[in-house]
Amino acid sequence: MMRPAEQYELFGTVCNGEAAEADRQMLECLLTDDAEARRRYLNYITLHTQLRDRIQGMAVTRKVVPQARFHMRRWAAVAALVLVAGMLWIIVPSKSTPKHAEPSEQTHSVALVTNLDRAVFDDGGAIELGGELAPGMLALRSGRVQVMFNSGAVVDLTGPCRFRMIDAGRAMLDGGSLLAYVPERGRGFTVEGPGGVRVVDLGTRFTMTVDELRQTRVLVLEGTVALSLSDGRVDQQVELLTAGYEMIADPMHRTLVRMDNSHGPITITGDAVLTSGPADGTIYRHTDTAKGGGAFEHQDLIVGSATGPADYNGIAMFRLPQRTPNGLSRAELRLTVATEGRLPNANVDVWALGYVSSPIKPSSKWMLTADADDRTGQTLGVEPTDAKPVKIADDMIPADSFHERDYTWQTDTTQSTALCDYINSLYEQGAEAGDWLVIRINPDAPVGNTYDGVAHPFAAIRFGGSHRVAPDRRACLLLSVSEKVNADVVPSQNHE
Amino acid sequence: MRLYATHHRELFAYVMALVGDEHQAEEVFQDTSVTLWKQFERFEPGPGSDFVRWAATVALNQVRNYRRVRGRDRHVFSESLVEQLAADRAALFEEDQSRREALATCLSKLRDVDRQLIERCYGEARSFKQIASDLGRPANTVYKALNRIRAALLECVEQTLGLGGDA
Repeated sequence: MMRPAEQYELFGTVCNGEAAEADRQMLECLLTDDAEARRRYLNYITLHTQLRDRIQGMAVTRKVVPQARFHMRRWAAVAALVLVAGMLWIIVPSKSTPKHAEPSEQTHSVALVTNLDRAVFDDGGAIELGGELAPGMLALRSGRVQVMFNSGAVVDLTGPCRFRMIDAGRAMLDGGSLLAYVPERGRGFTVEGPGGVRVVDLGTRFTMTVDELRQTRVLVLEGTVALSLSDGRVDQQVELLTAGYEMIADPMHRTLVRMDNSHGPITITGDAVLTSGPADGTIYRHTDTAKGGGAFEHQDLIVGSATGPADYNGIAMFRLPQRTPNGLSRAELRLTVATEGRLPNANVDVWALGYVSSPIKPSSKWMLTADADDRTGQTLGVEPTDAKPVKIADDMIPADSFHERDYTWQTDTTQSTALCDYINSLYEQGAEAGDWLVIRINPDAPVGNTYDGVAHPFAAIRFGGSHRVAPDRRACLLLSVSEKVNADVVPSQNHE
Repeated sequence: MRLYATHHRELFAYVMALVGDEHQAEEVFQDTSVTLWKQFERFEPGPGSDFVRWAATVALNQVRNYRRVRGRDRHVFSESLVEQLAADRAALFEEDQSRREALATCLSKLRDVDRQLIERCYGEARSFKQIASDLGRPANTVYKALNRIRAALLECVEQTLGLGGDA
């Protein structure tokens, strides 16, 4: 029988964050058998949380932001939108007037708007979340739009982008980039590119980019697509592309160029744990602000205030692959929301800080709650010592915006290019295979957990850490090592 | 929202007790907060409807979800213990306010050196271990001191409430 004093010792390990597995098992036994011990435990935990509230509460009242008040009505409106966005995946669309797309003689809807993020259109028009889209053009100047075709295919568009919806299973990309997810029932979904390029999806996920030269680049992330080039007559070139393969269709020269993927793509997922042992990737959580210190553990990437007054930064470390002669051709970072939340007064930015040669404990110096970071690698304790951190994405999540669990943010074309160039430059400056790229996700202003005098305890967003395996919400860095190889050029049968 | 603002710390204490780990509790609590926010319109304030109890039900569901999803890779309390703790803790909500008031009084009765340690450990967004290292003291010494002070505070709170204490 454990004496009360011993019981308090045990409860203390929980509050000190030091409970070992054996302590937890002992606690479980004690609490299961003994009602009086349960009462003590509950009161002890209450005391612990009240102590934190009381003592931190004295310091917290500082953050009162006058603008952008916190209104319940607005809150409810956003919540309704979020719920609608969540439900759109399962409900049958109702017949309502199409909100956007070019005027068309066909007025039936072919797709639904399932996500919107700061979307600005060339014509100044607007579409609504949940709105139906008739066949026509979406000329997206900036921001992002996700549409779900009635066939089931889901397409993420990142501006600038010109995307034409033809029918429920067919579309055309005139310029810009898209990411398509096509479930089994949407098999056969087709996106055309300029000059007779056609990408037929065979149940998969792929990215497609049309550049200024009207070349179409397709990278298959999962499954298989058929890429074909036609001049409108019978003769066609058709290539099947499987996951990891990338191909460029050049209508001008009538060629399909397969990129050599003997090295990749390499998907690096933030993985493994703690500071003690190197593994294939490490994600730490760090309780910052400027005060330094913090707990490092196998965690989500938390950005914002969580339940305390301190603002969190998420730090992800990714192990760099072997360098290849022509360097990386693509680098894409993906972060998936594991627990939703929103930062009322700060945007979330993504930075690359540099590299470290071992997965060292993150330094409190790495943390930031500001929009600019002019410190050098020397100050931060990372290589290259003379370089400053590079912002990969500004406002990846804008202030006051809310993203549902499983929302995946990923670098757009410009950001991917910047990240790819950055990593290649790290190799130029001495990084080697096995070194660790350090990525930081941080709020661009202090957040805190009170807002306009009202408690706002979920002013934080959690992006999946390395333990979010099923379903997979892990942070992911997708690197492609692609080199053009002459032998892989498919000669056209129809040179003009 | 005022209701939420008033009671969210009690809810956190509730979640923490059921989960038995502060970091895991934060994770569950954030899910709980978001769910409450979405479902708030279902709550009808008025006589006989208790926000905290309603919110605690939502929180309990989140703990159950957490157990299901994370129980494989982390130690969590058994299902029956979670349910028992939930029931026991819910019966204590009424005491929370008086405990909070008693704690304020009891804190002022601490020796200066103890109060300073508590303020430092609880006031800063850092682990107790790091604070110990800043103080140049072994972590274990700081843990022991914290355990002793918390036990003394709990005893003082219970005596203030006329419950007697055994700490």
